[in-house]
Amino acid sequence: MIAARTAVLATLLSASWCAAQQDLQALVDKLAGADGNQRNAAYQELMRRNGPELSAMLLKSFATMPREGRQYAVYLLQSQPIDGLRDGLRKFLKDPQPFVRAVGAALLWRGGEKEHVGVLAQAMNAAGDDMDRSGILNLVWNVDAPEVVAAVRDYVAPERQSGVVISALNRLRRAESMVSDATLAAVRTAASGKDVAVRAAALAFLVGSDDGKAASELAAILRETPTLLGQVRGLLREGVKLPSELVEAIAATLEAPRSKFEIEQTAQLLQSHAPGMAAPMLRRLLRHDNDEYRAAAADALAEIPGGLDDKDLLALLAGASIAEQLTAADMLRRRDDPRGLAVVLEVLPKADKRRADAARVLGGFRSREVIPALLDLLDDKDVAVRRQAWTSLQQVLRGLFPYRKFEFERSGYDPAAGDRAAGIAQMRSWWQTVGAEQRGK
Amino acid sequence: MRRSILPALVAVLACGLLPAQATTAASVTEPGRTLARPLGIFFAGVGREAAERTLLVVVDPSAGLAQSGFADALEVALRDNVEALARTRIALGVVGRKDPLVLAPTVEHIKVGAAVREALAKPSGDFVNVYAAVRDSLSAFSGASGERAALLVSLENGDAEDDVEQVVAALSKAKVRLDVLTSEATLADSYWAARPNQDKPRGTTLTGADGAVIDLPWGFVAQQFAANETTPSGYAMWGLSRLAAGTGGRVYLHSQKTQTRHVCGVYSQCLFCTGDHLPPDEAWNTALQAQLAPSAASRAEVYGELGRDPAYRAMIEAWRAAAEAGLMHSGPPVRVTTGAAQPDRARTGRGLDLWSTASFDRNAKRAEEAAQKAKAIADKLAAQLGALAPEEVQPRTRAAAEYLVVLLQLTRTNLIGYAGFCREIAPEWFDEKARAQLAAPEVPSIDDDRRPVGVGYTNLCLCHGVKPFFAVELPGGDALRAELLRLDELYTAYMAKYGRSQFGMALRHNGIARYWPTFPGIVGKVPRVRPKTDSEQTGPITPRRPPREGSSGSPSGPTTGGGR
Repeated sequence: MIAARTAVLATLLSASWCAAQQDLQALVDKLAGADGNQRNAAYQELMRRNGPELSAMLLKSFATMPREGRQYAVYLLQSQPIDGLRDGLRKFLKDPQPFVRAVGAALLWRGGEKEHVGVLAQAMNAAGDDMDRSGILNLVWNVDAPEVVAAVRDYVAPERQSGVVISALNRLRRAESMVSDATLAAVRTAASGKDVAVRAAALAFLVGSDDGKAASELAAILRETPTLLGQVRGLLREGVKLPSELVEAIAATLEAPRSKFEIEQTAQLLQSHAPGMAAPMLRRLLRHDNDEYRAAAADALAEIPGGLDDKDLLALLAGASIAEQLTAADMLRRRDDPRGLAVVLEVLPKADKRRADAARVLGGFRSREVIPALLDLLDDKDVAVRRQAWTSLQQVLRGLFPYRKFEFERSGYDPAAGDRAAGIAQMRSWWQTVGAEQRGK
Repeated sequence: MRRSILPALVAVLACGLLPAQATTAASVTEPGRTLARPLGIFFAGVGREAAERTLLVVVDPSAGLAQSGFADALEVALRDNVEALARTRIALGVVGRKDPLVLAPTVEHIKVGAAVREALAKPSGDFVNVYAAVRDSLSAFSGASGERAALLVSLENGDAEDDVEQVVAALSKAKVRLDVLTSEATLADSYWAARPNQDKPRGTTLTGADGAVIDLPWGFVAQQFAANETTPSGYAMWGLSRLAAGTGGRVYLHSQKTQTRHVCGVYSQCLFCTGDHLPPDEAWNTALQAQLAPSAASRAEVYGELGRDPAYRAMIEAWRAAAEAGLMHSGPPVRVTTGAAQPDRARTGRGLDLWSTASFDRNAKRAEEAAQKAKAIADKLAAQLGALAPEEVQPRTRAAAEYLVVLLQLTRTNLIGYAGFCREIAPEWFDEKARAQLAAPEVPSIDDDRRPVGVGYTNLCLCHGVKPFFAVELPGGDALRAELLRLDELYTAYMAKYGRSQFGMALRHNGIARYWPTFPGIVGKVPRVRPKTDSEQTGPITPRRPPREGSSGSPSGPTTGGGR
């Protein structure tokens, strides 16, 4: 009887294990599939289920995977303990495909087997196209062997795709504290290529290493194609004084920013080279339609001594758009000036799509005046506004009442709930009976 | 008309010239926080032609220096100045070695870079005596002809001080100019003074302040930590500034970029922002900062200068009175006699015993009595300072003395608040009926049914000023309100004068106290202490530098707003 039960149990367990294995294999197959969304979803799922079984499957199918899935497979393998991978990776070293050999050698290098560095360099040189080169550069980021650095240097060529050249140059910047003559020669050749992005990258790398010609050429390119700055900014050597012509071209890119990050980075660069030039450009962005851009510009201005002054902010506070007024009120508050509070409270009824932003700005003021307005917003028709008002209200109450302990969920209010009346009534009741007292005042 | 203007003009000019004539940290400290500039200047030398020179680089291989990229920066500077260094021999000293001179003067500069890399490969976390290392490396100059200069690179160890004047004398005798590359000290740093039992290298004293003496009062009641421990001074530690000043050298400060972000309270909590504060006076006024710089003269000379300064003398008198009244944990480090100041042994202030019992009525009475004394001492000091003409007083000592006036008012405010806490809040917190009546979202502040054994506190920083506290519910009622108003007046006036300087920042680093009852700790099983074994080290060891409490993890000191 016991033996029969054990057999049944073993069968069930075995079936369950087989099902799990099949499920895992299906995900690996999807990783190798043509559908990008499916690949991504499979990768996310496999990250959760990463383990020795998955490693074995990946090692087995890696060489036959389409290239699109290989990068995901590399990420998954990298997150595994190296000791379970060594045998499989050593087999990679003899694969006819250079990318597979490079993956094997690079991962083994990370695991301490540095003797395969020759295979790695040879695979890098034999890489068939820029997609492989790009993938390999991601693998060799920390490999400082001279053979590998030399192979990276060979990727800096006019005929390569700009992504490969930029990645290789970033790698070289890190590997060579003093730029070698060989690298300089390769970069100069790349700087004479036809692809404008490759040229821009090479010129950015050369700024400070030549007589100013590179800076001048790069400035001309950036005036034509300002969007390239984001790609090549990191290649400008730290500590090098940029010529004014280039600084002007960089400043001009702020006229049409593409992201908050772009503004932050460019402002930082300008701040160290020409703070006087950065401030006027950033001030213009304070009136930009995009909230994030305005906030990024305000933050960047605040980092520049004298970049923001009350006159500018008060002009913005009196401005035509609610978005500008909110930005100005928030900035003034951050500078210990509460004059924007009255304006925010005044514009709140007509804030329309800016109500959530207004609720956020109100939450910055540790003032009793904001509480009735935030209590009203708890019943806003838009859940995003209610959430923000709830967060802001908690923030303000905790600041104003440091000797009281709150557990806000006990009020019964939930911004996502359909019936919010009881919770809001409780909050109003507390505020009227307790909070509005002016103890200590 | 001309006659009436002339004396005033002369007086103004004289006042303006006074600080410039004295050797202060400002007169020897270079602007900037990079590694490239000091190394570039040091190796480039003066003049267009490559002159015959002998240079000594003394490196303190700390973790901070290893992480700073110093080895790379050094190699770049050597490469960039190849022509200027054509006739230069460079030696290398490494702090912490028995024989610090690890590389005799050589024209093979590549060896210097390699030796620095080797030294930094195993950074040391020990307290080391950089002054002794400089002294012991001077043999590098024996028989050297041409210009002689040394660069001491130490981000963390200038506070283990031995005989600074002896090092100055040795450098002067060897005709060596010493430049220093170091990190920024904190303003009148009291960190080691508050921790007198710290192990240190034999023959050294742990100091670390930007001045020769701690000239800013510290250790106020109800301030959890001294602002002196967290406020950047804008200058190096006195010992290092002194080496440069005494030998005609320069001081360069280094900090990482990440260190310049504004933080409202280092040890304290900020009630008024979530880390997005942009104080309008964050960027320092360099002229004001320089005016408030400490002296870089010898310690003996500094004592002489301070002893003659009536504001300093008044401040020391008030400091001592405050310590004796139990308003401060620390006593002044000097005693003033007729026209002179002398070092005094470390004394602690009288304990008021405000925190060790939960007898709230008793605590409230004691706090009110102490608050009275704070007012009397502050009023007396303010009156004394008001009677002094500007030309009688050094700007720095006036700033420190006025700081004491504001801090005594802050202490008074905190004591009145404490009395309010003991009378209003604490009984309510332990009253079952009051606890039961609390309406949601409020819940009882105390969820411990044990008897309290004392009172603890944290600080709510003053970074946003005093005014925002008017809206905050604090214990103390009208009495506290009156003290807050007075504090606001003093704070506003002080910040108008010193806001854009190290002293303004120090004031912002103090806070209004928030109190809470403490309960007996729950003690686990104490591990058995085993007898000593043979493997235990018996010989003398170099004490390791403990991580500084409250530090951000950054090894290279604080950074001023002006250092960006």
